[in-house]
Amino acid sequence: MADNEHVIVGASRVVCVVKLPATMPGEPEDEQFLSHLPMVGQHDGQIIAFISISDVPRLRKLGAEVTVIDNTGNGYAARVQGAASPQDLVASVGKSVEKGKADLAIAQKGDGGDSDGKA
Amino acid sequence: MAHDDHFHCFAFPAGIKAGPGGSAVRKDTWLRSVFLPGVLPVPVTSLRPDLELYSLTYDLTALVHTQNKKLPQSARLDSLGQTAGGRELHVLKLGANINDKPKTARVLFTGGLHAREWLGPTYTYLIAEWLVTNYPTSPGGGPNPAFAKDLLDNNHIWLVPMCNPDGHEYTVTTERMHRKNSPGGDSHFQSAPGAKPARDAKAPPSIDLNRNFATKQWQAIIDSKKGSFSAKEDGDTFAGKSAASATEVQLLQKMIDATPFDLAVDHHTYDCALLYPYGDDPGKAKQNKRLVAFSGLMQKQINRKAAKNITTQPGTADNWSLYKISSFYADLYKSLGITPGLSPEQSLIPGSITDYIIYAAEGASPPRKTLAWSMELPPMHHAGSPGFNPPESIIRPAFNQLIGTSLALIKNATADDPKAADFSLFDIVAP
Repeated sequence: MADNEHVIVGASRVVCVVKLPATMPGEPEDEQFLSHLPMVGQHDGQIIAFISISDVPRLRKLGAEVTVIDNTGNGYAARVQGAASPQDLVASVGKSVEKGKADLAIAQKGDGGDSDGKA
Repeated sequence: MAHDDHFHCFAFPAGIKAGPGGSAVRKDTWLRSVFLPGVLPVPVTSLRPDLELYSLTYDLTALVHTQNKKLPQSARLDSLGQTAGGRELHVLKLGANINDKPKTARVLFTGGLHAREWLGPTYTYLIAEWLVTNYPTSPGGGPNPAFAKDLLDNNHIWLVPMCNPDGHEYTVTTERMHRKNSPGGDSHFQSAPGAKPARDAKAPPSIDLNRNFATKQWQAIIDSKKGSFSAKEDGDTFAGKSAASATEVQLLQKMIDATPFDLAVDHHTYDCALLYPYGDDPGKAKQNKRLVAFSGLMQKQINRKAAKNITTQPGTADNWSLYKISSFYADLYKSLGITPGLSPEQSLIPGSITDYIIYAAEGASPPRKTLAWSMELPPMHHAGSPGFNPPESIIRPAFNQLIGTSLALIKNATADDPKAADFSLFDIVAP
């Protein structure tokens, strides 16, 4: 696999709602990474980011709360397109955040459940 | 969307035919039709059955053809060169005696450096379409023909509506949220017909073009590891391994270095924000009082229009903000209530085209007093904002918000004293 292949295949990027940690980390590279998450929207004072799948565990390690809401940018674009109003989009993202958090809790318990392929 | 007077269809230029999915069509597909359906249909819909796709070359050639019929030698379409994907980087040049020097000013409008920001290319193109459509064939006809005649008779207006055609294509075919340039080795990426296949394991990583211009502080910011960029190849804001390493950036820099522009505006989305340089040197931002004064005039005029032309938040007028490029992200985080915000250093932007244009003017002999901005077009940031994927219905209000100001900038591009610049004159252009 080419070094950059995982970067450019659409399925390797996800859209997630990210709550940054209360304080930025001390390492310059980590601070810089957290400071510039590629923002495609906002939800409830948090960032909706379009990031490489490999960034999800890194974000969590740095103390960010990450909930994947779409497995591709196209999925998020379709969600936006399908929303009848701004309120509809907020509700749609909110619903996915709730489901994502529930799935993650089940996955972290290790007792199975439907994670729907989301991190 | 119903057609309005100045969004009308152009007659297809003689000698230019849309082939049945032929190479001339396929190589420069763009999505103008998403916003303006029914204009110059080009049979490439098999690419995305849900979208009507058009040819940028045809659209721009149609403008040249139409304008030159009205006033000979007042329009030409040139290519700055080819991208890695084999697509032309078009520059449309409008103005009387276009092969000679302008009477007054040279103005540059650009769009589409970031692939997913579709409104940028569309709005940049629509400035040209407004000028060409309104240019009169005979005296009289009201204020708009008079404006168009005055602006095109006295100035040269260069437009590069699609600075990142490879990336744009990728947002059509593969990933709507792609930001950077050619995705190199992606198996889904299709290079233009006649170009070598794009699939290449050794292909360079894609680059954020608006972080790759060779601005004065580029290396210093990269080395500091602080600022709005990514040093990682898979980062959305990857600034490149070296300044001006992207082909598109090299071609645009060559044009900027060779052309004494008086004023330039680069169109992005999204935020309803007016950004002025420097992105990489906050200390210098307020030294240019002329630039800051012009920015204030622009903000006032756009907000007068925004109150009547709401884009995506029913009942709430778009509200244009004014930022230094160097503090844009810090101010945005603050306004959205995102914690813990950004330090001033983390908000610095290396390698933007806007900074490059200003540095080029400062370094010229003798130095030029060039003005330059970056505009973040609608929609606004708000809860439930469609962000980078707004509906087609946003085009008309966004156009109405901005066109008067774009024309006023052309008119006043060389005005020494901002107090003498009259922007309100153009308020009547759009409701």
